[in-house]
Amino acid sequence: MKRHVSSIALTAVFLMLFIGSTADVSARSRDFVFWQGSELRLTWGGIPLDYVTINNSISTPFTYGYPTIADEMLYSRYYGGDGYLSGAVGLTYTYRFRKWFELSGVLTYSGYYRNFYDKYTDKLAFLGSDNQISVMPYVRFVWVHTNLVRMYSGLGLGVSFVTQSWNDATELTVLPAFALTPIGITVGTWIYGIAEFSLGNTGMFTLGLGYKF
Amino acid sequence: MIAAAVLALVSGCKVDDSEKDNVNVVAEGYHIYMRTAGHVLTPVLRTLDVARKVDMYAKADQEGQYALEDRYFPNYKVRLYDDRCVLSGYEGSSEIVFDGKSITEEGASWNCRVEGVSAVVRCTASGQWDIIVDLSGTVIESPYTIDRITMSAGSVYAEDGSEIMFNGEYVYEVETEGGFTEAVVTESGSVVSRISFAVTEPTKAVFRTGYSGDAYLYSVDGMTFHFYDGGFNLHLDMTGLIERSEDIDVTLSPAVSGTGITVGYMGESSYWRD
Repeated sequence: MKRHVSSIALTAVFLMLFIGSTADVSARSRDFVFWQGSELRLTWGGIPLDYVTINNSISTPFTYGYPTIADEMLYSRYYGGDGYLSGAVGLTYTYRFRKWFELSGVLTYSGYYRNFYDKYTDKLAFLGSDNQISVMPYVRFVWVHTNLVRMYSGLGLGVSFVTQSWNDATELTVLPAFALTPIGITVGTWIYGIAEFSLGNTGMFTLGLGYKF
Repeated sequence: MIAAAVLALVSGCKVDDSEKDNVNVVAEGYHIYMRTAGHVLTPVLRTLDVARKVDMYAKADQEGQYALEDRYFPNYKVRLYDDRCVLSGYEGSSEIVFDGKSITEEGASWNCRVEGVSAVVRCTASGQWDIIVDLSGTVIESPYTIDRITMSAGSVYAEDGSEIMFNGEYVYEVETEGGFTEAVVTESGSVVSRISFAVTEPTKAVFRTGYSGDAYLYSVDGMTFHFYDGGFNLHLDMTGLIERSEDIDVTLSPAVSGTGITVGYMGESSYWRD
């Protein structure tokens, strides 16, 4: 299973970079040219260090043995179906101020979904879900800049809104959000592929596509 | 498109498997039975058990008393007077008031207040006792209150006439019938559970200590009477946040250790071993 996941991840990284690198094959032969402008990025990050992912990564199996008979009836009434994490889906707007300095606004979504069933009837009772939306300003320092390839580090700090829904009850929590990217790479010119290693709400391993305009 | 495909591929990260295989509706019935045994029947039967152990203590010489204190009352200071015995423990005290007779003598009647239960323990025949609970003076562990109970218990004898004990504890054959209430207030409202119970046949019981883990829930401070070789009929009436009315049938195998507990509940049946 791990090998399978690794293969998918590696394939995805190469795909992203390949797409970016073939978008403008002539770029590598030109001298580096910087121009101020904007970018949009669409990314997916695996293993975000956020509340939703951490809270739902460790399964708590269906159990009995509550302290009272009432608790037993109330809290073991429903059982969960398969549970899924979305990872961190990100949308980033970036403005390039200098060839080495970019400022971004990052919006990420991370969710957990699980159907819950009534144990007496096995019928669907409700959808339990946790949703986390994070917004943060993010600075990016580009330390390799060619027409085709950029390598960079970055840091973002912001705020997260977490909603937890269980059986018609929804709870909202506000938490800090962050992203620390020791290394990231983009390959391509107008359209480029992205691969990043980060710690924070954007995911540990991030892949995506970007568009310069 | 490829990005979308990759997104679709990886966005479905399954982190929890379905719990369906772990669900057992009958576990509710088992839970109710174990609560009844541990939190209601145990403290009542304990009055007789402590009375008999105090009786043994009172009859022993000093060396024997030390041994009995270590064996049966390790968490208590035992103070024996002419007309009573006081057991002072960290979480409360118990008191047994004698009537001048040994509790093993027919006609003996001792007033007992043991671990929250006030009762008269009366010897009705050799090796036979009634436990008459004073409900107004009885407080068992929250959130439970006893509504009514009758209980009689007898010693169990081997073929050679000697009383059977298990791990140094008396073995009783118990007949009981009664009811109790569990009242719980949650954030959403209150739930009142009224449980009635009766043995289906005389059922054996032996005192056990050292319960831990999940089993600790069914004990009081890790101590409970373990019932075997018999059975119970119980009925649950629950009102408040949940409205339920259910019958529970419990059959206990004859094995004192590793007792098979077969529970019938909501038309299904399941088996536990304790």
